[in-house]
Amino acid sequence: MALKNSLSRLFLAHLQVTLAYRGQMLLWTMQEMLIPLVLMSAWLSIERVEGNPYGPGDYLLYYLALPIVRNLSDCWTVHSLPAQVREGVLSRELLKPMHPLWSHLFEHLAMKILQLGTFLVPLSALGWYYFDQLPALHLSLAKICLLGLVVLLAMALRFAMNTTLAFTGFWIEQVDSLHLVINSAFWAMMAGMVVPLETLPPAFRAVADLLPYRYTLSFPLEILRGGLPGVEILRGLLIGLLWLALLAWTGRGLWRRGLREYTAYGG
Amino acid sequence: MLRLMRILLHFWKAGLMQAMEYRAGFLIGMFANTCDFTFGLIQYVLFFSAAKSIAGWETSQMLTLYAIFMTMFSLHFIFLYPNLEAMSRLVNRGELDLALLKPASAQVILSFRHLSFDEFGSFLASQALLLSLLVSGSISPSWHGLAGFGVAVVCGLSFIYASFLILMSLTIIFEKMHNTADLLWSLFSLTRYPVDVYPRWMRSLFLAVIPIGFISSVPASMLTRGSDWPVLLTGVGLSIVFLVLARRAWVAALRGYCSAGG
Repeated sequence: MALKNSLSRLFLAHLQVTLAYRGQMLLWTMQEMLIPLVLMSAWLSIERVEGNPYGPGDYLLYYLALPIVRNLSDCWTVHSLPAQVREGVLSRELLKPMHPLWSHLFEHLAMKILQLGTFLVPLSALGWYYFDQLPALHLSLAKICLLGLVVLLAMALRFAMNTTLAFTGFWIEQVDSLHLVINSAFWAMMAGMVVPLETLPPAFRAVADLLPYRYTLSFPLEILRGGLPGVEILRGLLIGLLWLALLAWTGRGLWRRGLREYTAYGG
Repeated sequence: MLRLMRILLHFWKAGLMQAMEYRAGFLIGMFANTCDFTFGLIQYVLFFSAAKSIAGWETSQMLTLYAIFMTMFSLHFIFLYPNLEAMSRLVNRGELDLALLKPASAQVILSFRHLSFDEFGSFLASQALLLSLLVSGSISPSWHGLAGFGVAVVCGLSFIYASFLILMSLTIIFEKMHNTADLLWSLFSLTRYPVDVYPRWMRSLFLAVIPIGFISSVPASMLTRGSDWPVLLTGVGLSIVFLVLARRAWVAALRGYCSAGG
């Protein structure tokens, strides 16, 4: 009960901190919206190759929904955690009667919930403007629940991916460089940020299906569009969950060994 | 001018020595950026597995655009970004007073004092890409096109510097602006694809009012499609206007600056 109380207070505190930087949050929202909107413009002006299953309406839907999923699954522990280790702030966090990750988790949740509001306004306006061109979504209760589930998977998976990487900060200083190699442009390519995965050649898709990146962004968007058969959805869920378990297990191991290595200097 | 150049060279030499101190970090940073450049390049190639052309731009033209975009982006990242990041710290800690007291142009010193070497790998890789496109004959610009390209690049760089200087001035005026460096980055997001992908009114805006088009689209178009002098003349005119405006904003910001300590 005491823990539950502390956690809810921690969450409220993070909500208040995020609200204190409202201007910064709006600026961030603007930046986050910019690239998907640029990509949408680019895709709407293409001459399609034969066999491309996406029409203009599909691209519109994809890039209107993408900022929401990207915002919800975004994770920045890879920057904040190694900084805590380097500067010794982690020592203070370790003294608290709860795991230091709770604070990161609630910071992410507070930011995402508040930011979702700022995202929904311009995206709904755009959706309303382009309503006639959007494909039918056939939303049922089952589909909405499934969407909620795969978005949760995307959030958990990206959190596990980045946090596991962040734990390497106990040993190495160049976590940012490592992040740039395996999570930046590579993520944008394999997760379906720049090119929707459904429009890529089958060989490339087969690789993307096996890597964790797809399940952090493209998977919910593919289900929203309605192009995936049930078996594919089940297979995707399974692969995503396997990656989540693997990353969580690796992360746990790294955290335990890292704490033994950790020699705080400062705080 | 030569004296200023000498001072800057001393700063840069010291910065390079400092960065080289952590040799592994220096090399890994460059390697990581080159990897990022390569994945970015693959993305453009993948784009063409689903599209024949983007707003009339074909593969070789888009690769030219990417090489120019990355050149401009890495140049901004090497020379300007670290200085814009340092500015809010200087203002908040009152260290700006010290910089202003020095007997050299504060604008030049504060604009170019710090260098960031991380994007150097991207810069070299984008030059290699541009060179390979030229040597392989994928693009074969005329002399007019090359001259136009030179002018467009100068216009683009002038506009980037003017935007940078305006943001530096805003940092002084508003004191607590942390995201200025990210705002400049947003400007670049708009130039990853040709201006032709935007609706007509936005295209006109980016070519004739806020010359974002001169960062990548116009230089790439000069190299691949030949020169377009009316567009270039507009660019030259706008660059001069923006540079004058930026200089005025800088002077006004310094005039209104009251120290925060130091």
